[in-house]
Amino acid sequence: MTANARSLRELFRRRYVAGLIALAGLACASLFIFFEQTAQQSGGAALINLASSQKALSQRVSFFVNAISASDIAAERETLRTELKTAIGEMRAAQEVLSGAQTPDRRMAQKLAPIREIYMNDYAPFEHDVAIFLSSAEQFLEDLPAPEETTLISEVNLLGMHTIMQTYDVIARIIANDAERALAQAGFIQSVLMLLFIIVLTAESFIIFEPMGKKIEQSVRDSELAQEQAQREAARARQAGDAKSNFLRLMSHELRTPLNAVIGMSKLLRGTDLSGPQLEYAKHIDDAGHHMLSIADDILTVNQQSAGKLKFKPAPTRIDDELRSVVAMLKQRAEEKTIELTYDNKIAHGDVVVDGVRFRQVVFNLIGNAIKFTDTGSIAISAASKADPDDDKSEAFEIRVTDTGCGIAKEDQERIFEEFGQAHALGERAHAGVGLGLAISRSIAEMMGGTLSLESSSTSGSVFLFSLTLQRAKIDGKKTATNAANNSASTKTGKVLVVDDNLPNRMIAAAFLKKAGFSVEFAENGKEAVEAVAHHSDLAAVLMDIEMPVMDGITATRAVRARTDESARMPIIALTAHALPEDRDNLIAEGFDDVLRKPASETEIVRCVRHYAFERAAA
Amino acid sequence: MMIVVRTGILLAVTLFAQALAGETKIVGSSTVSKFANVSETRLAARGLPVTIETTGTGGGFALFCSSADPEFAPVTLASRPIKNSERETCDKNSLGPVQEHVIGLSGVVVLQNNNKKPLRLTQRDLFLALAAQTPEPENDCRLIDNPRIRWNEVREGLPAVKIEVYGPPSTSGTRASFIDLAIAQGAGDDTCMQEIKQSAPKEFKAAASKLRTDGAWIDAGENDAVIVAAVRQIPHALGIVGYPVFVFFKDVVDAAAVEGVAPARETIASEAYPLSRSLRVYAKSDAIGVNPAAKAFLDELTGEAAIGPDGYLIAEGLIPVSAP
Repeated sequence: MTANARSLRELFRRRYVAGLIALAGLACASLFIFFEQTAQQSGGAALINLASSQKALSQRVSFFVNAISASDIAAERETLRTELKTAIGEMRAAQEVLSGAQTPDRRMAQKLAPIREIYMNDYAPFEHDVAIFLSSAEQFLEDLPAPEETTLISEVNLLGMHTIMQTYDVIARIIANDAERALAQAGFIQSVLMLLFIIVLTAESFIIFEPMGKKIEQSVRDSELAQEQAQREAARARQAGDAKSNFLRLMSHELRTPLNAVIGMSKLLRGTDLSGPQLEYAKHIDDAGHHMLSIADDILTVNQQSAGKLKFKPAPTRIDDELRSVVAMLKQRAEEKTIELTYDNKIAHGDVVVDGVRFRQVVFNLIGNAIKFTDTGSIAISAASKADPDDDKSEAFEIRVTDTGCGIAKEDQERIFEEFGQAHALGERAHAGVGLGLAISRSIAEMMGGTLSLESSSTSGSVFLFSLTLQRAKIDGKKTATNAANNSASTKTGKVLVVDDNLPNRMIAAAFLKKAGFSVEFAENGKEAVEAVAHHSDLAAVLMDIEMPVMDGITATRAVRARTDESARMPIIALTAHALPEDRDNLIAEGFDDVLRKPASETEIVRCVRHYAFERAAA
Repeated sequence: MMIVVRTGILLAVTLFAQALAGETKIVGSSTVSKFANVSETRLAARGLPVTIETTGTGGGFALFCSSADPEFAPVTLASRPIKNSERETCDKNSLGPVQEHVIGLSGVVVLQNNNKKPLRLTQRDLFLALAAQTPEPENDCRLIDNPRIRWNEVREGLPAVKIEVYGPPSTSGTRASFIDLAIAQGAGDDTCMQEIKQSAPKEFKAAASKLRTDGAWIDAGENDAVIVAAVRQIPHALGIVGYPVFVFFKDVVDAAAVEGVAPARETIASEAYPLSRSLRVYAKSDAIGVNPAAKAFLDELTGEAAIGPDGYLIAEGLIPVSAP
């Protein structure tokens, strides 16, 4: 959380707490007033009751005094005297309370305050009136002589007639009025509290909830804006990335086409009658071509990898076949350097699920490197299963490439696996490249769940170890295309249509094929190719370039496949400078039988064409 | 009514007994008794004791006229002149000559809470607010039970507060004076009532002399301090007391102006204040001749030292008759 957000939260928390405290305070005050008011009311009611009872009692006292005086019956007089005594006692006790001489509690005392001046004043205290009234009544009980008794009766009557009774009435009214006033006051205070309550709530909504809502809205808007910004940036980056990828693909394609000519022509050149130095020069041209090709390949792969586009297509594969195919592909280059290339197979099962292309890429790179950095001696490839008899689901492999090269200095041993690490680490060496190969290979190995490391290195050579564990698969006797191609070392020949808009490429392919005994027809674009297929029923296969003017290879292949006669099943092999694995898949899906990447070696072209031509002949 | 009669008889008996015991008891108006008490205290110091019993003016006359005995209520205090009916009773009982002394003037004051805006009432207002029956101008001036609950129903401009007036009970001279000076006079000022006076004098008399009994008028006993307390404690309440009471409490209560005149020594003496009245002492000439205590009391109360322009009763709030 940022300091800003923290201080904002603290601000809202403080306001919220203050609001809550204010509300709680108001609620408590309201409750207190309610209870206080209830208690006051009950105190007031008790006093009103008391005053009313005094009024009645004063009448009883007057009545009994007069009744006793009027009665001639002794027994009746006695009963009335008892009643009078009781009434006087009751009235005196209540008088104690009302005059404030004996107050039951604080609240009643408060309620007595307004009537205190009736009882006690300098003018004519009511307490005095009541005292005379009661003492006269009490003296009356003492059986005094007739004249004195008469005086007492007159005292009782004088006071009892109006003053005592009416004053108690006034007392009750004053207390009732006081209670009404208190009630109105409490009502007013309650209303004020309620108003304050509403004000506090409103204030809370204004100083807490509304700004909070605004802040939330702002935050949401900010985050939306940021998201949009990020999306725009991402799109821009993607576009830039795509542009880079496209550029690199194009570059790769454009490089491959001339490289095909360079490598192919140098190959052809070496096959002619050349003097010693000429042969040497041709070989250098070939080496340079291959080097350039590997750089183009590596750049393409790295680009794919960094764009997250490096895809794996695991499929049931025979590891031994893959290894053999790579060894076969590189054997010629090793032989040219007079290096012995051996392959030792100690694989237990070998049928696994793996992306063969990527697997071959790693192994090709390791062996290619070994050839590159070994000047004399041998390169030994060994593949072994790490036996785990209990595991029938997967198989672990250790593939070692051991060379007798110059070795790698200790301080460079990790750097050779870093991108462009080679340029620095191996900078002094004769075969310096851009240094992408090992980094790519390790990366691919790791993406397949394996490892790639330099096991040992000394001045007498290096050992690279490629370990990986693969899921086992069942391959029922069926041979892969490569395998088939490898093994169809037949001498079968026929007529091959070479389609390419580039003359040198046509020449190379034709030279390779003619050397292997094929006769060759040419077409310079897809349109010519389609016509040629229609006219030459003796064609054994078509070697088709993809990017061509007038009609491209894909359209031409579609046109051939759309034919209704036998020629629709014509073996068509793409020979393309499009170097990515998905390009291969796409072309197969478009109806090509196989795909060869430019520059393809003589062996590849001949084996592949022979394979399909043979298949066709067999069909 | 039975109670009153009976009380009257009882009082008479009491006083007669006291007379036999050689004690002189003076009866009558509570308003006058405030002044009479001062004189009595001075007399007591000179060894001539009398006892003053506050009975109200009416009660006083009842006792006074009931017997010719010189010891029996030889003097009565009154806050109004003797009524013809009362004089008849006196004559019937062969009282002999009765002396009448006006000792000073007083007024009936309409008290109000001193925290309230000063009221300015008319006699008609008091009639319309407090008479038991008032005429209905919209209905041929028919007399109906007074329907007014608030003062603003009496007259526009008066406050919208409940009519609640505390005053002395029926035995009080002050109340009688209030009825005469305020209610009856106020009735005379009312057009409808003037019509009724012409057409039905008896009805007029009854309506002009009867106070409400529905709670707007409240009998508050003979103790004037209770009326003052009620006015002080019930802000909207008014009180009816004699001028001397107001003088005593004038620091804690206010008086309403009547017909634009506030009660004061000067306005009462000049009778500019409409609720002014004379305070009187009635004495039986025969009784005075033989009862030295009674004579001493009468001389004291009517003497120059008490009621002359610089008399001690003037200092107590009594307005001298001769005042300018």
